[in-house]
Amino acid sequence: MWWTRGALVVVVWVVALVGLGAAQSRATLQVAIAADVNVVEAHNNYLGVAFARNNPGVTVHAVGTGTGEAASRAVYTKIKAQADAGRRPWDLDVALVSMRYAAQMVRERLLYRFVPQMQFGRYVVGPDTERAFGVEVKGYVVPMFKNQIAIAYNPTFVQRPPRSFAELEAWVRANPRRFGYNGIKGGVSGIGFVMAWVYYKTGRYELLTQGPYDRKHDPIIRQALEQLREFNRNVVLTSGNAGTLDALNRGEIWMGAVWVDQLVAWKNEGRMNPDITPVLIAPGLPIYPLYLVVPREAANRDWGVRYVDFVANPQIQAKVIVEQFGWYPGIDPDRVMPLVSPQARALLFKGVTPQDLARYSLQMPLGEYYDAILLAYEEIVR
Amino acid sequence: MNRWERWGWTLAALPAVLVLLVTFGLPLAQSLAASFVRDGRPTLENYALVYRLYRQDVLYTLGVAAAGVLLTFACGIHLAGYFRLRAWPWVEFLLKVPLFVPFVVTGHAMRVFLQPSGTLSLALGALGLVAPGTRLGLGEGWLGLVLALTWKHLALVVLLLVGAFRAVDDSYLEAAQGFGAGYLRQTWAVLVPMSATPLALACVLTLTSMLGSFSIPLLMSRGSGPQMLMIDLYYRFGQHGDFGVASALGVISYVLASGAVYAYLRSVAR
Amino acid sequence: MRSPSPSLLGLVGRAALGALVLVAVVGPLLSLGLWSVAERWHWPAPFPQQVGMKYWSRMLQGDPLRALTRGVTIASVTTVLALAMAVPVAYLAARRRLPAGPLALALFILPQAFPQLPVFASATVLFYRWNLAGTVPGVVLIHLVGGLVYAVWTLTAAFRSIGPELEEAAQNLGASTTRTFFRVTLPLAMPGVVASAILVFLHSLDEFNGTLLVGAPYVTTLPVYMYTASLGYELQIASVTALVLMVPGVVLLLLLERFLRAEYLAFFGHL
Repeated sequence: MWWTRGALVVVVWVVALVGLGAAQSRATLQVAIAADVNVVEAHNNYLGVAFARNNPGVTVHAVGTGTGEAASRAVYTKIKAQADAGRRPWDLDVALVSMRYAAQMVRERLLYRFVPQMQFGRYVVGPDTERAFGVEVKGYVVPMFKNQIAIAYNPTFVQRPPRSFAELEAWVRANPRRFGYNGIKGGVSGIGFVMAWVYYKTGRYELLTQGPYDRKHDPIIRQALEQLREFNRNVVLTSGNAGTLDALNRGEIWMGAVWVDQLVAWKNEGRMNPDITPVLIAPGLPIYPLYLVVPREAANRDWGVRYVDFVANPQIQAKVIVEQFGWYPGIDPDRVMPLVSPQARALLFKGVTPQDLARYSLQMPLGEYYDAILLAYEEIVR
Repeated sequence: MNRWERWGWTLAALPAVLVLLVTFGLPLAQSLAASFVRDGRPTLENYALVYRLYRQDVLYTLGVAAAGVLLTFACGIHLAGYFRLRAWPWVEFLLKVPLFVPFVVTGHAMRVFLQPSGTLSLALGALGLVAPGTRLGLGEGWLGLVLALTWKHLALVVLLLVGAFRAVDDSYLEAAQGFGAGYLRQTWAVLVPMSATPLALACVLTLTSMLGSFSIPLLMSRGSGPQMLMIDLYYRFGQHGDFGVASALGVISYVLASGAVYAYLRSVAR
Repeated sequence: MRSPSPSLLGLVGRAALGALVLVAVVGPLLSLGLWSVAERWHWPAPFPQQVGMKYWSRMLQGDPLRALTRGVTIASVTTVLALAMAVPVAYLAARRRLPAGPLALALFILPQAFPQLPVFASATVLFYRWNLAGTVPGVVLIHLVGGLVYAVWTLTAAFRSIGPELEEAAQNLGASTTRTFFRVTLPLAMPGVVASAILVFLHSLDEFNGTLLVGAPYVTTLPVYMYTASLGYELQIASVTALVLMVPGVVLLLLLERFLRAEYLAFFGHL
């Protein structure tokens, strides 16, 4: 049926092109953002505008591809399809994707190794810029910002926040349905909490993150999830990270596992009770960066690299990423934090100090363990 | 119509057929095939995984849809009967409004309305019907889903039933009235039995639509407990890219929808 | 038919019924309206603490506006294509001259009967292969599934309602079928064509399932934007968007109530 398909494609394309009037500018940088609306706004309204001002003739067009892992997968599938079809160039110049799909794209050789070319490439540091899900990602990824999963609590109801998972477990038993997180289908903050739970219950953080992968460890994972099922009986499961924040804000729950950046963003917007405070608890919770990547065959690849370089500029990181949006810097904090105003700094580290981050910020497990844990969760916990 | 004209018209009708074959027929066939393939080998593994992970969800989906149909028709039959017997145009009009409210908007509106701290709780609190600050948990779980699905589908059901009931001749109703039958008796003893066929049709269509509902549960469900089938499908496909298991879930939903397929095909054959 | 004697119980029941319907239908929509103007609304205040049009004005710029204009463009293209393709099918069907009649017609009804999501997921896999995923033509194609179904059935009904006598008269005067169609049948069927166009346009504007899957990662229309905003608990933005999405349909209902026949509306159960 190649001819029907071909004819169909031609007809639709012609009509659509005529219909749209094809208004393209000279160099338009296509940026896909697999994250929430506020991140898309950061690119379209701040970073893109500033970049275009510095580089006349270039416009930045950022589109959001949705929320959660599905959004990153859409970007991956699109690039992969173009690579498989042997098409060139690809229609995407820069993408912001989750750690999991960035790792997958590096493994499948879909990305351009661009960090060495960047002016600020030497500030791209930290273990998460070297390995992710067991894949060597060094040189392919630049975190736009770092994102930590933490336990947020409402001090009105919780005088002494827990300092460890064991204390959290006891607190939940004493305060049924006052702790919330978002399961594994509503986004990565819930997934991260589950991973942290497995680290805590198995005590095998090294094994789960460094490998080697072996199915013989399945029983301990399953056992940890059976305990999570018990824990969940006294827990409110929300529809997503924003759902957890919303429930916290309305006092439906008193404590919850959330992204720190979203908590700060909501406070900045005036949507959130300013008293809600994040803490990191032992043995720790995952940090999960969103990476800026440049596809191997991007049409405007050089501009793409320059755009990422622009976002990684310590000045931009300090003014936009930290002060404007309240995210942790994506690049070396020693370069960025001295440029940040004291108020923004205080807001950023309220509850979670740099020392906490150094101690309790964990990596995501190896890809195989990650998948095994999610599957076991679906089967056992539900 | 001469031979050339006939050819011309048939040719002109072809693009529509081709578009549907490519955007509907081919994908349908592909999902049937893909449900029996994993890693390039023919297998039943996808169905095994569905059984392992989602068998409760199949039952849950059936339960929610059945409850939704029951509630929709419990309301719909009485409303349509009432409108047939005692015309009330503006209320009838009001009931049609949800027809033009898209599913995804319904999901969002119901979420805002029914969630524990939603506007319903606030309004009832302000009116003093519940203690201020009470959080009704209607939006969570199956009950909220049933309410939302009913809200959206009731409009169509009332529309279809009022049409069917209006086709029932006045003389039957008058005869029943002569025997002293009130509104309820007239509805159940005259209107319902005489509209059995359209009623059954509306029932099948509503059930199928509820079984395959996606955007309403997507916006209303919380992270725990059993999920509607389409949510599982979207999770498998959207988050994991697991087309095999997603297709197996799809095929199960086709089977559940076979009642509607039959009803529609019969209406075409007529 | 004898009008029922008004009893006290009947009147009270009637008032209660009216009130219940009003609350049940309008309540959820009213809360959208409240949220759309709530600049600050902290639980448990029964009403917003600060009211304003801030979020409505945000609707008129940036991403929501882009999503709106893109959605309108897609809906326009979809409507034109769907009608152009559906007219011959519908006319042949109305005159029972469709080759392989019932079989061909079945193709135009089955998309209504099957659950959409699995079919669209499968279509997405194909569209990625054909480089149509994430493109406007891809989204138009997926909107055409529902669009063609509505168009074919509403147009068939419209053509059928025009008796063959007029056509026969024209043909007796020596006009060809085609000429008769364009000179006689189509002008007479215009109200039905317009109704059909409106329904297809609305379908495309409101379509969510297919757009979410096929439009990703680049094409965002208003329903998808609303979904993202709602999941992000941007309740104000989501509510504004929801109202914008709802308005065309409800206005249409107000204006055209008498002209929209039950069988047209029946399709909207499946939006």
